[in-house]
Amino acid sequence: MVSLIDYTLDEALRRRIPQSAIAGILDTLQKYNVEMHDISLEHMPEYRNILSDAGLLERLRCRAAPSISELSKARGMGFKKMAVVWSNKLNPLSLSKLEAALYAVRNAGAEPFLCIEDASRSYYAEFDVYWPIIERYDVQRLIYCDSSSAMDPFIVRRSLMELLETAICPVEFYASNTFGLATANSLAALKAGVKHIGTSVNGVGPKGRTAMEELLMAVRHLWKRQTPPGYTLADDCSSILSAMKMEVRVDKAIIGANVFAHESGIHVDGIAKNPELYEMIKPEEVGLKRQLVIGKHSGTASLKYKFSEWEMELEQDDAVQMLEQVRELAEQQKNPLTDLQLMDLYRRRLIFIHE
Amino acid sequence: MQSKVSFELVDTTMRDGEQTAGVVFSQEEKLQMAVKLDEAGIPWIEAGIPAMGRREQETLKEMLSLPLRATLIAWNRADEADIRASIACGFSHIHLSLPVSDLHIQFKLKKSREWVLERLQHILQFTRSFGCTVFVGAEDASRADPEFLLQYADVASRFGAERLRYADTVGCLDPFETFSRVNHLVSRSSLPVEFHGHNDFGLAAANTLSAFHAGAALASVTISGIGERAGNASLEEVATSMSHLYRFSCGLQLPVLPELTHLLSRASGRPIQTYRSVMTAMNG
Repeated sequence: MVSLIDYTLDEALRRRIPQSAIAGILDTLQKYNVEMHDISLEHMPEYRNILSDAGLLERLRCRAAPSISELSKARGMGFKKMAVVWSNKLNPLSLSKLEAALYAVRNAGAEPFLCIEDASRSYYAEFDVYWPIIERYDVQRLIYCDSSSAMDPFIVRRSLMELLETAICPVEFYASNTFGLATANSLAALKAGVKHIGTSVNGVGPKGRTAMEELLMAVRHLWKRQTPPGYTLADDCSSILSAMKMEVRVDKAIIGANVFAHESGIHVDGIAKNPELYEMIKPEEVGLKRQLVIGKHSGTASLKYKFSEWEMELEQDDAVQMLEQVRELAEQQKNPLTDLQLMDLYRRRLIFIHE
Repeated sequence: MQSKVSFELVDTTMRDGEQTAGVVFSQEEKLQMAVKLDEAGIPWIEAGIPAMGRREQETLKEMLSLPLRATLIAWNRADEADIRASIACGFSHIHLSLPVSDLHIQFKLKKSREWVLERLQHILQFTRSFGCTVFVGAEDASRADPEFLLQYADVASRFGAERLRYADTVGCLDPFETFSRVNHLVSRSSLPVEFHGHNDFGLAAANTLSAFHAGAALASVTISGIGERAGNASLEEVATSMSHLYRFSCGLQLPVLPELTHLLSRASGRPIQTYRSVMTAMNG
């Protein structure tokens, strides 16, 4: 099963959400196999109080620069897991600095993680210098970051397969989403054999991240592998976002309010015959509802289907005539018709006939 | 990994994009989009569906009268009346679409595979009799039997189609499946393949890049990925990732893309997508 490292909390702290909203976010995320939350040390001073919860502290990992002063701040706050942020660009001679940082983490009684920020810019053999150090300080995991969105799924899979051949500790993958490839790249990391992936709800983060809901549902429904079920996923994600004063876009993959909305005649006709024609998963799999929208692209079958939902039968002739009016009205108002408007059109037709 | 140097984008914002539930573009907005897409260097614009009715036809005639370098394409069901409407508008490039998965053939058409192949042959001959250039769409190709898809491609090619669109209609492919399926088709069919991806699992842009690696000659995109349900592959994401990762511009003027993003946002009434950071990056 894929294990998730959550960055939603990190973004929530960066956005300075009220402390009272944090517990709700964390509770909700517990449903989705979140193994721990990665947070940056720089957000922490204002949120020190949350660290008094010992249970929570076990699930937090503090990300910090490889400096003794930063790491001693993290130690002072009581963190049990610390990720030292490192760049491959640094001169190999500076490895002693890395060693000093990892030593400080161990000395603080915390578990060390090594986060290579620009890993995607490096050849796998360049990682060889780290293995002896990782062994010496018993580093829990190497966090392979594509912070600059420099990879496509094929490059990710190949690079990580090569890395895993020589790696002496588990590898974690983290992608930023500048070009919209983060979810695909994370799937590629799983293909390569990586088990731990960094995600955030809705992909929130300064440069975007792998969207938790996309990764989980792709693994579940495209690969038919076990992940936590998504029956309340859309609500969970939108409540987390609203705690951060953000909204889920209506067309956001998996959780957007409109991802099960259908308007075009061909699609509604198809949905009426068999929803699988135009839906890869059922709305209830992610806690959403199907909607039929009546508008410019509706067909007669859409109107009939809509009326059948109201337990009314619409004759073909009526449907054809109404469709012309529907399309004109939708174009005029640049919006689909509300149920009320549709009923109104229908009633007016009846009056006209009776006259 | 085989890569071809030619890869062209087909913009379908005004066809598949406008089919988004709740979205209607005005005539003026459509004409603006066509001009701006042309300015960005998009070579193919799927302009709309003439069979939609009189008002759509008027807009499309206006669009055809614009002095564009891009070629405008009319979308059609495999239906004579649809084709006639497109020809009456003045289109010389016709896209016609039939479903190819058993699911669609059985439940939507209530027909057989044989019927689909016969229909394709008939409608191709009909359309070609007007001297049009014809592109063929394979709806729900990603859930179709790959062998049947090859038969479909073979009929398309024998009866004069010049392109085959592989539609991942419900967005159910991942990048690796996309590669193997598109590669299977490309290596066995003589027709140039256009990949048409949907974003139901957030994978449309990545799948489009995979199709490029697999030898697809073209790909469908929409501005900001607008389209049915979770949308289509996004023009901005596909173009900028190709440019950054492969140093390949698809012949596009990338600086024009933010103008398209803004135009689309106004026309659709949807805010610019901040969670997809390429939009933020491009728009400052």
